[in-house]
Amino acid sequence: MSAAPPRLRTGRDPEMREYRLGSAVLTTYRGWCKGCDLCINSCPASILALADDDRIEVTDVSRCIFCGICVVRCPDFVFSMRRDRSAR
Amino acid sequence: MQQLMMGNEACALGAAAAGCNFFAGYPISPSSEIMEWMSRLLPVRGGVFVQMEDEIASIGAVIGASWTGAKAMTATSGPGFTLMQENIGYASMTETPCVIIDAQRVGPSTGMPTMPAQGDVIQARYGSHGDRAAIVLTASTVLDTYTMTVEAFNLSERYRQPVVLLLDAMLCHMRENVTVPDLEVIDRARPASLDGFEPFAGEEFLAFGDGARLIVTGLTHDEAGYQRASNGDTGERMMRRVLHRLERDAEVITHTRQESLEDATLVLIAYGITARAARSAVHKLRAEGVSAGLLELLTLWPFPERLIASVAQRAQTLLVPELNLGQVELLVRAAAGGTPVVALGRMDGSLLKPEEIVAKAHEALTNAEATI
Amino acid sequence: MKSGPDLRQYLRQESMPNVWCPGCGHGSVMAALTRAFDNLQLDLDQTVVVGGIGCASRMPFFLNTNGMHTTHGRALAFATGVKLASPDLNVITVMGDGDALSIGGNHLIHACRRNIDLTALILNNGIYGMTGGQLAPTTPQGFRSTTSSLGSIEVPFDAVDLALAAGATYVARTTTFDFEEIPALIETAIKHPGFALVEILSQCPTYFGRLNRLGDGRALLDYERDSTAPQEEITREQLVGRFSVGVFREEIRPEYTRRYAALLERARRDGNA
Repeated sequence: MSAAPPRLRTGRDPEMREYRLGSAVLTTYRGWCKGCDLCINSCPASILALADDDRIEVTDVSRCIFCGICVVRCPDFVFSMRRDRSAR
Repeated sequence: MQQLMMGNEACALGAAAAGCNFFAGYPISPSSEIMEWMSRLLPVRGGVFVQMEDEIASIGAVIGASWTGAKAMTATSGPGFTLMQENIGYASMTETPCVIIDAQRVGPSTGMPTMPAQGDVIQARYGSHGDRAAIVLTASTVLDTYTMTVEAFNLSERYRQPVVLLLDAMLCHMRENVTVPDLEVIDRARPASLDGFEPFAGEEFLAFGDGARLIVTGLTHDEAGYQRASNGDTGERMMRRVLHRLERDAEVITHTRQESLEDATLVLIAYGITARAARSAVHKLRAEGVSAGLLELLTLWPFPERLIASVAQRAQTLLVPELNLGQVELLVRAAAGGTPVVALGRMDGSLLKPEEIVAKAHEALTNAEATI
Repeated sequence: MKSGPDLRQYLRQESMPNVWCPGCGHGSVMAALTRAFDNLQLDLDQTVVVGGIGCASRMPFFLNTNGMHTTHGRALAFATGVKLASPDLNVITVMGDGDALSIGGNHLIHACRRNIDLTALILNNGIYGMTGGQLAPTTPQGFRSTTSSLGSIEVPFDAVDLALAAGATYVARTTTFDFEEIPALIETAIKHPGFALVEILSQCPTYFGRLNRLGDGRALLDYERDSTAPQEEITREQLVGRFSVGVFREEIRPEYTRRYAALLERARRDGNA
């Protein structure tokens, strides 16, 4: 894949955060969150909330069931999930 | 080898000679034969011909094709040219090489579709909104129509800009004997390497799929193509650098024919079909002992102000015959620095005759003597 | 665990966050499109996403493909030029409802008629978002906008009926509520050898939702759920005031660039210049 221009053009720092539960990893780019609360409404475990800067925060990853609804519902690519095989 | 050729045919053959391999157009008198010719010329050469649903779609398809590397052209007349203006501005903003033929007819509006006029000169430069670069050529013989179509492609490829060639209903439909010349054909420059290549920095061109993922937008954008719609100086910087290139290379872009200007006190400044009558008028005036000269413009934009100013300094009077009510006369007046400029305009669909130009010349000279 | 690809790889991350309002559906449509890219393993160097002007048409700025942001309503005309000149490129147009059905209507019906191998996504939010909430040809009758504050008297287009009548050979409609279904429809559309149109109802909380008191992004997703029904289970009469969703046509008919290639063959053989 050819290199896209590296410089930050018009965007904002993604402020990446990682939340781990065993080998499951939930990553958020909270810098891209606009506080629309589509994910908050959809999360079956109700562990998503807006921090005081109106951007998403995972309040308790231990109750996360990694169902991926937040990934599906977010219009701004804030969430992603993967397995980190190396983690024990 | 001489061939009897119609103007529109010469235009199509010129396009093919220039390497045109994409034509999108829409029927409109008096340009339709160009499209008819392209519909036959392109397929046998492996090129793409398509008749689109309207003129706006035609210029849109031309621009899209150009970004795959195609040498693309459309042809229209006044009403269609007016419809195309927004996308022509887009082609200028996105530095997209392409050629637009405008076979002028009498306007305004539907006007006289089969009668010649030269009323689109100002529109060819300022028809699209905002300040943009523009290259506009014209022709006064069927051979010119061939050579200036090739030149239109060469300039559009070299400067990555839309180039307009103004013809007219007479030139499009008349026939002349033409010996087709062998002309140099220029292709757009390609980047030597992709590292650090920015599609809107220089004039090098990269097509979609050629190794970098391009963004092409009509929004104000920076050298990499990223939109900068609220960044004033980016917009100005990007457009001024194109204007600068045309300014820098004015000599290369400006094509004229000059006749007995050295000692001319009366200079006829003419272009397009009217230049033919103007040339005869100069010969008649010379025969009557009047030191007349002809400056024929084949490049209308960028307008050759410096050349006009230098001619104006040496001349007593400038006479501008044209098939409109003073569009180039307006420009000549601005550049003439005080030398009297006399207009001879017509918009009734008939051609200006040499005798009419000679009569106007005499009238202008007697007025000039009266004021000394 | 719902693991899946990190779709951010398909973005120009240096331009994120995207321009759309909080709770707007267009971002979800872009997510679905990137999921389709991933499922198809599309060669993004050979892919061109062409937008017109409007909220939806800004999508090319955020996708790590070739992008064209053209003039209002003209995306399909530009895309036709790209596809004809370079048939091997994957050409996808992304338009809003105003872009495609109002100023761009003429180009839409001709692109359908030609059956040229393009994928057209119409993100229908029932209003002009970018310019501040004006009436669109898709705004339901009686609904409010900044130019129909007393309720629109206009009868809206049905984009699917229009495309079917004009000859499109793949026509589908879905909504951002049915998010899980969108990638598959887009994949089929991209693979479809002809003109493929997918209309996606995509919520606009800022104008359509607010001016019509239908609430925020989440509430509008419920509204989409309640104002649509699978087309197999509903008759036209029962449909009044609602949209049918699903696949309306999937036919193979001779595609424009292949017809042109055949014409080139004939020209080479017969040589009619």
